[in-house]
Amino acid sequence: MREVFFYLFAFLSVVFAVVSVTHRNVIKGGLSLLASFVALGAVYFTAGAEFIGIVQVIVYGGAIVVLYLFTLMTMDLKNFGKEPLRTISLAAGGAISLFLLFSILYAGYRFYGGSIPATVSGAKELALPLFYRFLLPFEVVSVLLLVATVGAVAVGRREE
Amino acid sequence: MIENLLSMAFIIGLMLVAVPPITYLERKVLGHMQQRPGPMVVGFHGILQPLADAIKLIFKEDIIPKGADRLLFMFAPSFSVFAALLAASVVPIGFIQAVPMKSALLFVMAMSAISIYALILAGYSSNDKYSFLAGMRAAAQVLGYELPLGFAIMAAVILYGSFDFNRIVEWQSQHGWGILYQPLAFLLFLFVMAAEVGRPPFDLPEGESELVGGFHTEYSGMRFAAFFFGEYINIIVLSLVVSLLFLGGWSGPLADKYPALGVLYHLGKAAFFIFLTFWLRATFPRYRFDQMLSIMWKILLPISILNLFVVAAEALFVG
Repeated sequence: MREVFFYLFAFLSVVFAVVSVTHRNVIKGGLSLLASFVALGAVYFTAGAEFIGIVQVIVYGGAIVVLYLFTLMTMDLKNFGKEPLRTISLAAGGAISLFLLFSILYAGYRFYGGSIPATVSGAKELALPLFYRFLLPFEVVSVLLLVATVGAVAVGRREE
Repeated sequence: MIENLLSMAFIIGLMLVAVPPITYLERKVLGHMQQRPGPMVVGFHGILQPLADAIKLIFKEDIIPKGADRLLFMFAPSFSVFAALLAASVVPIGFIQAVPMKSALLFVMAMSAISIYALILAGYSSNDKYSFLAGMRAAAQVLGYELPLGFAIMAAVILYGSFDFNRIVEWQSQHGWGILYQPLAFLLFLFVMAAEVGRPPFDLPEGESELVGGFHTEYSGMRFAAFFFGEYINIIVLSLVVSLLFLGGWSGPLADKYPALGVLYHLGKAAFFIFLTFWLRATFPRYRFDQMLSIMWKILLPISILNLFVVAAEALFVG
């Protein structure tokens, strides 16, 4: 039963991700991105990681996609025409995606058969490694995010 | 299993049945607060008014405007009810809980965050200026209230040490109601809750005086009613959550001996908060768009962050 839902939501997530990249209408693209994120959250649920699944929906569904949609809605979207396909960018993008696909498949193959411990689900199990074992990398990442935020504000203010 | 199904039926039934009387009570309360009688014509003191409304809405012509995005236009109202009912499914009422879940509080927050898409979708798909503006307002409103709401809830979670409503109520029956420890978080939650359910003074996406009907300008009949079902179910759910978080939920005298009494206590506490939303609506005028954003970002957000430090110290001593 669990596997059925796992594959169902995994499939939905991939389908919506493809739609979000290929759809002509950006708002609908944003919506299918949302659907993809929510389906991914459901995938976490089926894997027993309830907490991460919910946080996925809150952070991506509740905040990030809303921000995307808000920005997209402020733009004039009528003149969103067809982009001409260029061979060089197509080849470069294709090569990078192929490499990514290969490394993800390889990583998945190496983990294959490993069982998921039942205790990954809670907030405690997530917090313990984050604030104990991996405290330094975690803080470094947060400083990095702060730098990005300050940089964005600085760039946005320059026009005055 | 059978218990779960019964609880599920009870909660869905309660949510759907409670909405018409609540709309009646709202109009009555609003009326008396503004020194007018409210609905009086249909039945004794207008008590059958919700029935008349329902009949009118069911038989109204269902209009889908030309140029609207048909699929999204039809999807948006049902999504509003769907998200609200999903949130209701994990909230315990007394001993009745449809879906027991460890992170139930977070799940409620996730579902109410998702429910805003109903408004954004309705605004976008109607292909109408007013609806579109309302959809944008809804998106901006989420970005405003999400952070103070999250921090207010985190304060409660730090104190109780759990996302599980049962553990939260247990903690409070041992140590006393949460409002005694966290008055600030309680007030923050109440204030932000009005924005979350899109009620006055934060009913910007609706904005009758500026945007005709806001996101539901183009809707008619039962699709229009579905938005209201979603909104009122959200109000009920969040009222239940506030009383769980800060007023001890179903705890009260004799509640451990008679669980049914606990259900009544809990519903009574929630009823007070539902009344409070009517009261707010009668008292405050709508905030302007920029006022709403600056209240959320410049006042409530710093207060809620400072409150986190206070609650961390409290949790250390109270444990």
